[in-house]
Amino acid sequence: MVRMEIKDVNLWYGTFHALKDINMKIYKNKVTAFIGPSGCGKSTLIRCLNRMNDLIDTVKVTGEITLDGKNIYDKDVDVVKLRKDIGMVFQKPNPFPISIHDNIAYGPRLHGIKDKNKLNDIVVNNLKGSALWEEVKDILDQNAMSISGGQQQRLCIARCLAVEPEVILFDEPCSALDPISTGKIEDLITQLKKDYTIVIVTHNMQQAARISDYTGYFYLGNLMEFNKTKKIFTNPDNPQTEKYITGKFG
Amino acid sequence: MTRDKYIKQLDEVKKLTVKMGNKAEELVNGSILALETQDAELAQKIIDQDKEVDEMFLDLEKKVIKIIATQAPVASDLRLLLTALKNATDVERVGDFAKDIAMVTIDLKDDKYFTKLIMIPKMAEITLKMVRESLQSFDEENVPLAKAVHEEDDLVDEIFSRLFRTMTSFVMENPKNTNQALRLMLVARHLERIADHAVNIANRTVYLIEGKIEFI
Repeated sequence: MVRMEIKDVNLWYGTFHALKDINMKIYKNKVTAFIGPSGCGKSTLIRCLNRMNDLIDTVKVTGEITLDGKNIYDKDVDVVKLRKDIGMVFQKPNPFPISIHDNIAYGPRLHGIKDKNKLNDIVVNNLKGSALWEEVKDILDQNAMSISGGQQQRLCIARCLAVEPEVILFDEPCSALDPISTGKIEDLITQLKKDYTIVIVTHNMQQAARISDYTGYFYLGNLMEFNKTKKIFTNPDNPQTEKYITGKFG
Repeated sequence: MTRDKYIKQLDEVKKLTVKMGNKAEELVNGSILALETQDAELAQKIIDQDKEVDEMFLDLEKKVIKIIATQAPVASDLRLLLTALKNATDVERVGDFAKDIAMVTIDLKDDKYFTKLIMIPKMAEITLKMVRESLQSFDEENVPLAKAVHEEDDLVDEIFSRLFRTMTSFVMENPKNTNQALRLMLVARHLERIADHAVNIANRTVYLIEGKIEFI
């Protein structure tokens, strides 16, 4: 089932044409990976999916991106709600410099939940959901900046889950992490797809191969190939994809 | 072009597989010649040389494992490595069969053949052509050639059945022929198996090029 659809999307940074006629479908409860060399437009596209690019003045976007059939670029769309429904986890873990507990309670509080017990339940459930609970259950009052990078990233995922999104966007979530923390995040993404729709930008080809169901290969703002991941990594249709994933180009 | 060393490694694996295949083919050729001419000395040389094929196989296996472990190959590179490794396994068996045929020659060195060997050399000729062409199809990435190999296998099977009937009648005519007939039947069986290995190699050429796993 299609959760999001990208239709004829073009994007310009001033005069620079960064995304060219992108068309693709993001399927529900699947992991979709965007790969391609630096500057190919994959991060630009993922930021279009929850309108993060709105924050940049010179950006112009045309085309449509729908969530369950509704164009997220329509004038009546509440962007704050949109970013709650389509959460994002960034490359560098960016917890708030407050306690672990409050990092997760922050979003729900902002959205109007005041009841302490309810907030505590949200904190516990989402720490469990992000596979972090066992490691931090005794230090919930400790400042989030004191835990390791890998733990901070899982905290950011927990914080994202706390506002009950439908889609989660991961922009190179493991590039600042060691292999063990990377493994944990990958396992977590695989578990999360049962309940969420996931899009991930990654420079790690093997990571895309391991955890995604669909892969899009981007080059110079074009979507060169969008296919099942299994197909991309065993026998891609486009010879350019082949050159890129085998490391002979890019 | 990036990853020059890696590309060289892949190329080396392919060349080694073909080289190993050519060696195994040479051994089968020699083993049949030794059988026809009852040359026990040549047969012994073939038996000794099978070790060379085994060593080449181990060398190739190590190289493939190292590339997979260090280079994380995907797509056509992965298909090449898997194809080379599996082809090498087939080729290694072909070498073993050459050795087995040579052992029959040694067993029969003092016997007078009760018939002139005609069908076995014919079978060997087609089988060797199949091995050669299957390896060539891999080397040149030639799918039509790979498909042609498959067709030749039917002929090998047909000669095998005819030979079976002939040997049965020799045994029925004179039970003293049993030992020789059974051993020659074994040779034919080895050749028939070698042809099957050639078909495996040819099937894999299709996988290498088209990414489809299927029997032609």
